[in-house]
Amino acid sequence: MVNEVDHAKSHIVLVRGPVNSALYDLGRGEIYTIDPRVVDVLGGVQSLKPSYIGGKALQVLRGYFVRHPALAQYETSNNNSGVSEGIVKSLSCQSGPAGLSFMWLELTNACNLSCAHCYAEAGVRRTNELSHRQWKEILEEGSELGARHVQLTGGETTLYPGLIDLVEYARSCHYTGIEVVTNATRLEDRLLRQWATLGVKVAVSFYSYDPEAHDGITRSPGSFRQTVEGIKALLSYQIPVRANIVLMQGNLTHLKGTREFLEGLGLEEIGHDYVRPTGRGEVESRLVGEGVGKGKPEPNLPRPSERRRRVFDERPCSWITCWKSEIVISSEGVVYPCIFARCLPVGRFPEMRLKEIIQGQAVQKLWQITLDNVETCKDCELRYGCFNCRALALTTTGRLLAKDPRCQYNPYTGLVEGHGGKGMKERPKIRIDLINETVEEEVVIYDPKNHNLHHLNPMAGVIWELCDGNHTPKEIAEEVVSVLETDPVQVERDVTKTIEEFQSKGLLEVV
Amino acid sequence: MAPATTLLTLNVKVLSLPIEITTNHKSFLREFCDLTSALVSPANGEAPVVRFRVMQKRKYTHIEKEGRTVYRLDKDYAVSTLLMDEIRSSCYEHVRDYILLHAGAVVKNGRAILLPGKSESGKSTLTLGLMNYGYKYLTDEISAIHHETVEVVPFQRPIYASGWTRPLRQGVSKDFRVYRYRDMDDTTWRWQCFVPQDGAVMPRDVRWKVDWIIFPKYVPKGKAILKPLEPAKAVMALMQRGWNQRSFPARGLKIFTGLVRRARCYTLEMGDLEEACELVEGLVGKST
Repeated sequence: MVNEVDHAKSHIVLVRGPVNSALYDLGRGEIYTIDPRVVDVLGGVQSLKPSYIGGKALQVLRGYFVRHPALAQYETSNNNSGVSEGIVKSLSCQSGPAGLSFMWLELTNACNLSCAHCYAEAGVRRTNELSHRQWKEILEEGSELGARHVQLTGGETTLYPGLIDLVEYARSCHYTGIEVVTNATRLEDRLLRQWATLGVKVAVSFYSYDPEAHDGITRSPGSFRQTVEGIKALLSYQIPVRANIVLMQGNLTHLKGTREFLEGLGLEEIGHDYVRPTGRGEVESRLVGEGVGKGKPEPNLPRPSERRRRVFDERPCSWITCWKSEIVISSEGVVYPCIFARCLPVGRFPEMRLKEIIQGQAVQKLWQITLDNVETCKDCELRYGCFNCRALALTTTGRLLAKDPRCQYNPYTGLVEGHGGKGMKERPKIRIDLINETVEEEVVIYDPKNHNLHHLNPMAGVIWELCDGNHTPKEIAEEVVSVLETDPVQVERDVTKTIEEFQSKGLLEVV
Repeated sequence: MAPATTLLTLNVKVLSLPIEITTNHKSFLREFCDLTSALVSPANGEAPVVRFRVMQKRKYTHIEKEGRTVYRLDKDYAVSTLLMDEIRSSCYEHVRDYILLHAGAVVKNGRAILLPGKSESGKSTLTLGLMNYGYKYLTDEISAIHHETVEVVPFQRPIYASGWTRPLRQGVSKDFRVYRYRDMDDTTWRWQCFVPQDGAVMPRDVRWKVDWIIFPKYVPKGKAILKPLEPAKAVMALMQRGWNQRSFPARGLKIFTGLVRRARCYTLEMGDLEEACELVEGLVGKST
């Protein structure tokens, strides 16, 4: 009963979750979370033949729906066909081998700035960077494999000597979307002229309206002035410019002001993101982590990225697997699934050709991941409308299939809550209303509140019995060690993890 | 056609649920009795808990439950089938002494096999197939498990199958009558149902112990593979296949655990029906 996708009406899809369920209106691109009781009513509606479900019945039912705060963005985008299509596509997620559609090419590691958060740890040109001829081969092979969008990035792209030639070559390889990432500090006229003629898009990272804060993050005095001049020059050539504000300790409170400043310059497309714990960003991310935890600037729920929404219609990618059909090639030829997933190399150019890498098991496996595979999310009713970052989950938890740490919605309780042991009793106690049965040392638990089922292996079953409100996790671990006589450190880790899992699934009493 | 005026009333029982059906539609009543002769038993004067009316009013046929129209049909498409669906939903609401499970069930030599599975997993097909091997039909969709004895009782509605299902072999098919249905908005024959006749009707007061629980799974073009299933996983799977276990909040899990404790559990991947039946027969034949 749980997690089945039912089709009530051809464009209305009901996805059941452990507590709440969600109704996806694919026609309008809206998602509603609904109360378990209403699901039963809907159950009756579904048993009717489709022709008997009138629009009126649905309107009546709508009165019961609670709009989920996290889904506000879907509701405001009624006319955005991308959202609804995204849901349709991910619901009918094809499992066949996926093709390539987008490449990030990190042309060089050289950079004239040394930003505090740089995921590529850019600065000095590396000795074994790919040659100009090899980049051209990559563009050729990528085009043959179906890629139509390419982003040239770095380091600083303008420090790559053959940039003009490469952009021209990309155009001749039939790439329809070419985007150059630059800090806009050293743009020459002939570059701007070429970009304007060839319809190249430009992306600029920007940090603050406050020159000192900006220069503090780039660690390069004068970079604020140079970047602002650069953006003005780009706009004067009518080149489409996109700015991204990366938030970290030095500019955490500057988002609004920076946005206004950039809008004042005439920029329309402005995005923002928090620093990622990759490369030099790791330290910054830890600093911000604490700050964000205290004064949370906004509900941290995964959301559809602007970029994806913009290019959605053009790219055959699944809504929920962010990195599907995408690869990164670093300046040294190492291939990753995403710029932030640098601990997941999937191949190396030119030892392996792109075709081999793309069709290899490593890449295909990563591309096939959907939220149906991800811990916790696989039970969440919102999983087909959600955008999440596997790289972030991997770098923060060490597990590729962990839940996106930005998401604070717990599908097992139906509540948006803080993550990590919050609200747990010092001596964990299982909820009194749960029903459990033991079959051959394994425990099956039934939660009458949300009709959810849980299955514990014998070890977890022992821990379960000790969660009686009289033992601290440490005492439970000691008890387990006395029975099993295994490595106490390992057991303590396992016990903590198991109890945390009980907690996250709403099986423990809360303070 | 002028609306009929005579009202006919039928008082029957499905499991422990007394039902009253009132109608002015004679041919419907004949069809309904024909299709459900194995499923319903006489009410023996018990007061009805749920009342249905099937009324022909001008050009529409109305199916009403407790005075509320649940269907309004402009042609006589499968009135009996839709009413049976409604009766089935009523069972989920009202039956309290049986836990109803989304599962087929067959019996041989006094020992029952339960075949729980999702829709399209091959329950009905396997049930039909096994009947060629000397198994008797208990149900193909809803298994009623008694809440105390954990035994299965017959819920012998017609076996529904879309057109492609292989018909029963000669020897067995005389126990079943085959009805065919057109699709609602289609002119082709799409559905057939096998209605148990005298030879296949099981006594309704006999309960059968469940010795095997086999979870069928249709794997196109695959081989038939039978694998043992861990009991805890079987309990989980059964809990997910319950129709009305929410009416048994405290006891549902206990009933299913009881069922699993005394039975042996397997999963059966079915590519080829014949092979799958042979495997089941091998399993059951060996131990009898």
